[in-house]
Amino acid sequence: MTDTLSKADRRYLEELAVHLQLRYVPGEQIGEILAEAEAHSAQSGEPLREAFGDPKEYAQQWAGAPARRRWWTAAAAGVPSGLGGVALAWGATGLAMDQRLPVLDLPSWWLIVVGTLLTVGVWASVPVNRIRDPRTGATSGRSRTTVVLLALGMCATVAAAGLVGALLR
Amino acid sequence: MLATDDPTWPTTWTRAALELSALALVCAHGPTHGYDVAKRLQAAGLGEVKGGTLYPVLGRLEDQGLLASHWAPGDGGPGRKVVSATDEGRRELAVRRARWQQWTAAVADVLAARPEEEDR
Repeated sequence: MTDTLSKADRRYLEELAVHLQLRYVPGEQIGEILAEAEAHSAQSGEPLREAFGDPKEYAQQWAGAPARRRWWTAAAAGVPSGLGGVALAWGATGLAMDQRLPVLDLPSWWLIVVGTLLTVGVWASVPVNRIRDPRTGATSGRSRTTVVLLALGMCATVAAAGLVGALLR
Repeated sequence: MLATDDPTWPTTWTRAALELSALALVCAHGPTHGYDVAKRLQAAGLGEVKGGTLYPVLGRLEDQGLLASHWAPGDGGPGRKVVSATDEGRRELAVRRARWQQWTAAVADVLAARPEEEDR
C-alpha cells in the first residue's frame, strides 16, 4: 500500500485482503490483486469501491465459491486446540485452588504444560498466509514466529492467572 | 428493455466477448497494462469495463498461459503490472477469433430469419 491512498481506499484494500484470505487465495496472489487495484485506481482516478465494486464480491471473482477445508483438516487443528484450552483452564483453576488432578494424582501445573504444548503445537503448524507486495517484495501479516509467540503469551497469561489465584489463597 | 440508442451493452454480451477482446488488444498493443486495455475497450465501443470485471479476466488469461506479466515502476504513482501476449496466446487468439467469427455468423443468420409471411 502506498501513502497516497485515501482513507476509504485504504480501508477497501484491507477489507479486500481479508475476504481474499477467507477464500484461501495464496498470499502472493493477494499481493498482486491489491497492487493491481491500487495501480488502476491511481491511473483512472476512480475510488476503489467504484472501480471494483463490493470487496467481498470482488474477492469471490478470484476465488469462486468460498473454499471449503475438508472437515478433518478443521478437526485436526480444532480438536487439539480445544483440548489445549480446556487443559489450560483446568490447570490454572486447579493451581489457584491447590487441587491435584483426579485419577493421575499429579499437580495441576502438569495440565498447564500439556495445554501449552497443545496450543503452541497447533499454532505452529497451521498454514501462515503472508501477503507479498509484488512492487517492493515486502510481506505483511503475522509471521509464524509472531503467531507462536502470541500463543505462548496467551498460555502464560492463563498460567499467571492461576499463580495469582494460588498466591491470593 | 433494450433501446436501439442505448450507449451501454447488456452485461451478458460484454462478458461473453471480454476475454477474447482483451486477449486481442494485448496481442495488438502489448506490452500494456490493465487500465490501457479498459480504455481501448471503451474507445472501441464496447462500453465502460470496470476494473472489477477486467482484472479477473486478465488473471484467467495469465493462468491459461496466454498472457505473461511483470511489475514495472510507476511514474510518481504505485508501480503497475505490465502484460504481454505469449506465443501460445497469439496462436490461441487465431483459433478463438476464427471460432468467434463462425459463431457470430451463425447468430447473424438466425437473427436474419423473418416470419415466412413477410417473404411472400
